Amino acid sequence: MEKRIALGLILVVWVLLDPWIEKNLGMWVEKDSPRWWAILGSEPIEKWTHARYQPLRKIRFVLIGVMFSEHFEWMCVIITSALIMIFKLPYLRLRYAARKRIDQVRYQFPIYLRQLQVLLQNNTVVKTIELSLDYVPELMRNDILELHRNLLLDPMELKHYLDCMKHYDLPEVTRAMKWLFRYQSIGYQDAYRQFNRMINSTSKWLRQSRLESKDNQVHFYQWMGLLPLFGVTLVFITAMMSVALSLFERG
Amino acid sequence: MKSFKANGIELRSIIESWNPTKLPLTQSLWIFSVLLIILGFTQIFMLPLSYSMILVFVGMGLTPWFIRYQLKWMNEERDFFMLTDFLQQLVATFKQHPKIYASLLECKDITQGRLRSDVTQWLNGLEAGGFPAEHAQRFITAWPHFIVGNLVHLMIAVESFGTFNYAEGLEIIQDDIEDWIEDTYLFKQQQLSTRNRIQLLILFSLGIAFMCHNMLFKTDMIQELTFYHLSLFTFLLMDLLTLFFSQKSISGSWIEAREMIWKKESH
Repeated sequence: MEKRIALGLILVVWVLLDPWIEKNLGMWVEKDSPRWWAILGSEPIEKWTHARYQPLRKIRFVLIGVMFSEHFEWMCVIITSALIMIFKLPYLRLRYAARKRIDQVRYQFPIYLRQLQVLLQNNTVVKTIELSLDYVPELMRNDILELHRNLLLDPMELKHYLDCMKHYDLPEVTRAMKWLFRYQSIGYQDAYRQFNRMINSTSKWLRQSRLESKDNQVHFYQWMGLLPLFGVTLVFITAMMSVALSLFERG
Repeated sequence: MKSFKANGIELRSIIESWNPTKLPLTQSLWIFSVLLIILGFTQIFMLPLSYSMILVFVGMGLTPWFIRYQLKWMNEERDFFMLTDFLQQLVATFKQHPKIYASLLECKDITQGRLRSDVTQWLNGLEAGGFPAEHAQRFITAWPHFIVGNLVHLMIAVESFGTFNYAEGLEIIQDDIEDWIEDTYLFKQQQLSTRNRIQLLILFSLGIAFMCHNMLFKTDMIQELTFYHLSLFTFLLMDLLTLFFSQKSISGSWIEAREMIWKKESH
């Protein structure tokens, strides 16, 4: 009985504390959420944290039913787990989508870089980026637009290069941006050497992304080979069960 | 409407590519043998007529798909090698004489089908006048792979503004094309061997089921067959579907969708 009263009290306190909880939702946000959010969304993260809490406000009243349930303890465990899951689900979805986006960027960035390298044959870095704007992949369009805007203000500022696509936290991107900065800032001879190194590295990166993607596709179908073996195991077990049943029937 | 049209084009190109003499005989015979063995096992296992009929109908229903996937493979293979040959030839020609029209005209002869009509359209556009970039854009829309885009943009830049170092840019693209061919070909071979391995496993599992069946009926200890027949039916159906999906695995495009980065942006 005491446990049921305690649960009721927790529910009442929770409802009373709602305004405070809503104000301090940032406390409950996972450490890496802002990064995932920065990768995916342009809206402020507060909107997402607020929306994330709303289903809990409605579903928590199921706990009233739990108070009168016969299997109180079990129901408590199940409902609490469900509430935690409901709260965690948007975060898991966000993380999944952001990782998928990073994966796409990892694949498409060397492709874009290759285009820059081709354009760099005839142009300066700033002009190259400007020319590439019409063809930049959709995923990184905003980042490249911002980089271009910043470079027009000060093309010799390393920070502009390093800030580009920073939220993806991809070492390959940072390296490529440093290369671009060096190409922009140092003399032709050195830049030429750097440039060749950059081309070789991009080739490797491009092929690696391509091969990884293809390997994943093959692995998916390789698992299918187990299906016939699973099927024959099923047949074998059924046959043995039929024999066993016949033996029992004969006594 | 758009997807219907796309499917129509795909279906038409598959039908156009239909040429029984071209269909690899060993590949097709192998698939149909596996299919017939699975269906033959319905008799060896003495399955009830209803189960056998279902399996025969499923097998017959899947047969057109087997042919379709095989033809799609051939179609994609032909398109891929035609495109890469065309690009390599275009790079080589453009290196010698940096004029888009002349290079296209020279390379047109090695193209066929859709690629030929797109090249012809590009050439016609250049003959009619206007902005060269506009005509090139139509070609990129039809073949939105990043290497095609890079090559076309470089060619336009060279022709419009002129440059001394364009050969190096073309060499980068040439290397990319070679890497692309190598990676894609290796992957496709890997896909084929995976498919063959899956089909061998199907035969292997049928062999085990056959031995198990023989042992069971030699002992004469089995009286109730309903459940046993149901499990055999499930097993054979599973084999048929595995055969189908193993064949489906090779039907994917030879040109990676993720590398067609200008698909959406182009008009």
